[in-house]
Amino acid sequence: MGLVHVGALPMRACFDLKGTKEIVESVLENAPLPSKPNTRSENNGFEIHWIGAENWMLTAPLESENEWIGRFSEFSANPELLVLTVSDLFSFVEISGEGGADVLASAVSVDFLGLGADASLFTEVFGQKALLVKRTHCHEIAIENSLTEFLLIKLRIAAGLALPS
Amino acid sequence: MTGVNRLATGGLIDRDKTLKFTFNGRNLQGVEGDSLASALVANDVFLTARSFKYHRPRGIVSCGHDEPGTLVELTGDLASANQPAPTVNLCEGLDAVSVNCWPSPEFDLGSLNRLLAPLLPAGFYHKTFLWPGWGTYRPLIRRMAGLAHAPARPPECGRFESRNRHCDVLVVGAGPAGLSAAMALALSGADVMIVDRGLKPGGCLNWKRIEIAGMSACDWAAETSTALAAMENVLFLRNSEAWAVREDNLVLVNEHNPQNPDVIERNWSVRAKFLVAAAGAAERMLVFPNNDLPGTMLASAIQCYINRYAAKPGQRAVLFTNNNSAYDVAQDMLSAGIEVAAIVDSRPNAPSGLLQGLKGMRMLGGHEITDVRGSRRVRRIVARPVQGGPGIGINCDLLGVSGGWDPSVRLWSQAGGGIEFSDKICAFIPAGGAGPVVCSGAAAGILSAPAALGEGTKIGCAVARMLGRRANGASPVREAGGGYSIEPFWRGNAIGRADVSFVDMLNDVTLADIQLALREGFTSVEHVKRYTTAGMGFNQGRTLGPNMAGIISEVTKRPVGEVGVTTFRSPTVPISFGSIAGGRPGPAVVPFRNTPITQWNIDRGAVMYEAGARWRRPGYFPEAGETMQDAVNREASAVRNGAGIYDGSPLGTFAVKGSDAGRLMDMLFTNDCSDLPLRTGRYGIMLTDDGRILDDGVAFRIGEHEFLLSMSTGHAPLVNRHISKFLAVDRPAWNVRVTDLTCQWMNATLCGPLARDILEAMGTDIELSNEAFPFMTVREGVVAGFPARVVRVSFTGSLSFEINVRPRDLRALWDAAMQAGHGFGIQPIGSEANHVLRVEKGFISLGHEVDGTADPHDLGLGRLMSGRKADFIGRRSVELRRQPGTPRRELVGLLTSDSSRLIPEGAPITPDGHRCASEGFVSASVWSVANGRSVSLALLLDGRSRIGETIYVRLPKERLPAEVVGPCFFDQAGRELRS
Repeated sequence: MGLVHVGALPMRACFDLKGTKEIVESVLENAPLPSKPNTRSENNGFEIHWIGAENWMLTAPLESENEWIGRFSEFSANPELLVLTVSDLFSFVEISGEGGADVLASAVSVDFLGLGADASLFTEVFGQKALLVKRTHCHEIAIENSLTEFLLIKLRIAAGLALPS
Repeated sequence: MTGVNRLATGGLIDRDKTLKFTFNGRNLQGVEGDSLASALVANDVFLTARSFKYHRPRGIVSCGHDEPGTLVELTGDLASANQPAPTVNLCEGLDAVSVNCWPSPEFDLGSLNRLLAPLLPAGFYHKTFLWPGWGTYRPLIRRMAGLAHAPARPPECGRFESRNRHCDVLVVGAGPAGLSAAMALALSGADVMIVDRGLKPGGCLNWKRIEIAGMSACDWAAETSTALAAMENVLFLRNSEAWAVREDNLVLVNEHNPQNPDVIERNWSVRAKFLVAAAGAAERMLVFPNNDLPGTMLASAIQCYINRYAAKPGQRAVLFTNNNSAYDVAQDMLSAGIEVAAIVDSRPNAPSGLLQGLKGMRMLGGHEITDVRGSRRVRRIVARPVQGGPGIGINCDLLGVSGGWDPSVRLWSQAGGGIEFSDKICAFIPAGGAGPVVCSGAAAGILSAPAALGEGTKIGCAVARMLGRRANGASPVREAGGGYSIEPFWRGNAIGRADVSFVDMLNDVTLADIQLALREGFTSVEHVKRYTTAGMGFNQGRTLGPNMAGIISEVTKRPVGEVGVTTFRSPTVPISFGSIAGGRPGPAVVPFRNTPITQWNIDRGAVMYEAGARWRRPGYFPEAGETMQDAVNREASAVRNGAGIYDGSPLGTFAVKGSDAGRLMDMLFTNDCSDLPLRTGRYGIMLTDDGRILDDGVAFRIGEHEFLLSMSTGHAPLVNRHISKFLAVDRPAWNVRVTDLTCQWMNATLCGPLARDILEAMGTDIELSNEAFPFMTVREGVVAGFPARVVRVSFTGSLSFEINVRPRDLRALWDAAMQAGHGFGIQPIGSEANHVLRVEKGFISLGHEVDGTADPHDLGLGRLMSGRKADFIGRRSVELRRQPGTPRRELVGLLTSDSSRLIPEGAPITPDGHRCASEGFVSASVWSVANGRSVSLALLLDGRSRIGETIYVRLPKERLPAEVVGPCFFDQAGRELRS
């Protein structure tokens, strides 16, 4: 196994959007949604991940969180749309390096090597629900924040790295 | 010299690299490329083990995983049990000992069992140990059973690992068919994974003297496998075994000693579009008297030890066969300088072409071996005509046996493929289809290596085309003539020797055992297997083949194909538990979840444990000199008299929104929810479809079409699934969406009469008076500078404020609360004190009062079963269950006569404490700080009508009287929590 880097990433602004494609598109002022399941679309400063039927997750820099909250607040009364701030719900972890793919092969059962460059999919990582995001030089895992320590330990074991004392 | 039997030339070994090893304490030497078995053969060590049941002397029989004779226990860094000697790769310092013998295979005290052999037939333990009872003998028999000892400690030289892999084609086996198929596939550009059990790929090509593409078979195998391993679209695993096929072509592969030195074994879960099963065939033993004496080997093993390992297994040999393949072995034996005293062929007319190159060889056609003599090694055999006649004695020290070849159909069968008996090769072969699985080469019944090469190429090209790839390939060798023929010989005819004619050597199952099973009416092959244990254990009957079916066939007069084979279960080879478990050492054995306060709790000295849904929570916070009960009393007392704070973050939190949100809430909860005014909440109960309590919790309305649910920690995942399933399956048209927000909002709960004062001291813009912020309402605002949603609920029975904030703010909020509460004597509260407080109040708890049988009426919550709603989940089931009107167990309180006595939770309540059917049980029992005595909750038959009665709790050595009282011991009017 080649070199592997496993590390926690800074918080991001995250929003769970549930509603029809048309409604969500209108809320996002026609920013393009991912064209197919298990992919993401990149926009100017934010990404939209397809995470389920009529379910998207918007991620953006944490600094823009309040701005997004403000934008979404005007739709809070709309019963056709559920927008929830979930920035604290997810922790982001990055796996990179030559052996990163081998570590990921221990963690997930999906064919991540066969995924396209825009892949984002909700799957299981070490048996726990998580969002797997494929990047050019690394993979990111967004996992429920309560499981962050567990995930980091598991990834470090899979990578053969020393565990924190 | 690395052994007296080592040949001067030949073999795929490196004579310059000697390796020292010990076997049963004896210092020996082998060479690089040896297996433990080949090194023992080279060193003329033939008595290598004792048998499982009778402790008979045993030697090395085969050259692979099918070894039934010699299992060893490895010590040191490689510590492991029950390793077949031929599969152990020799390395410097290897220390191996024989299993199942003491003190040594040469002198084994257990061999006294042989004297008892007549008393130990198949199923003896069902018949023999009837008086005074099986339990008397069980400990001794269990101690005698089994082989090697499990290692005392986990290996320290590395770790185990699991890995997933997706590919176009998985080729299992790198023999002639596997290599040629893999090459055709790889050249087509397909993503190929090859798995081979050998350290050196090639299978039988490593010891067959044939020529392929102008070079020796082993050179061709080496060149081809090197070329394959170098291709980018190929992953080549050696020393690996595919051990199971599961649904959707999921194949499990165990890789030993992967290239990563830190990894001992790696278990692969391979999802392949196609599986090419080319795992070859196994040679089977013939059944005749004393066929287990050391020096008796499978003919192919002799060939392997000579040609691959340059180790000569004997000086003077006899071959016993019923098929053609042994004749090749005779030629190799002659080349190695082994005198072949005779070939005994059960067929009266063996093909004449087989004797080419064996001129002058003594041929005993139409004969069988009726005895093998020698005490610890073959010294002489006796052959007689199959039709009867005088015996011929022949001295020899090696007996090669070939009973035919059995295609490896295990993976094929697990994939759902059919099996049929081939009269042509007297073996079970693949039949029909098994989806994306194809068998190739010997595994498909093609028992000639040149033919398998050509067939492998064809299969590879065909699979590549099915993948939409262009593929053309030609066999690297022209098919040689000859071919293979065999005649069945399921058992020897030696009268009276069935008890030493071994059908399954590994399990000491004899022909007599099979005949006994048949006499006792076990005529199904599966029943015979279970009765005799034939085909069980490490090699799963590989050397047994269809011999058992043949014997059953003879007795029951059914065709062998109709008798059939037993189910091929996984694992097909022994797999270590470490490999199955994968990388789970130390703190990651099971998942665990933290809150932002977890580390604070640990630093504060809390005793931590899991409290449902994998959350690590504090049980209690002992201070210096305190017992657990002292700490719990102190914490509970703080809540009743001052203030406590607990981390309620793990409580399941769900957002529900949509125009049908109210309808959903009414369906989920037994009571009415859709009429909740804004910013108010209600306690409720969710039932399963069959009317059992799924969970309890509170629902708050936070918008016209929006609710927030707070459910119990342990059942939050279940509730999530329950709601999701209901919406997806039962009401897909409803416009309502649910999101699990457990980790988005986490809470610190202030509880106790001083909670309001502390919250005020923390600083908040929320009006906290009871009038402005009454019980069961929710407010949003700022607390200690953080945006917060504060809820007035109580799970303790005391005044409580649940302050929900973002996890990023929780630790700072917690510190602020502790600081503000310092002057009020605030105490952190663990789960144990919470338990005491809820029992005092008579609040129900999952796993205690909610035991999977109780309904809301039983728990005194019938008022929550709305009669106004059209329907809710579980309503009809509850009504149906209660229709007969039979008495049910109802929630009550118990007060023991001795106020200091706690009752073990779960203790049964029986009429007068007698040993008879229980009428209930104690669901919880705690020391109540509010009452200064023990209090208990119980589910008691017809309990509410028995208040004032004395019941008896049945304990192991006493019956404990207790008075039945109402199930609330603190603030029955509920003034505290509403204050």
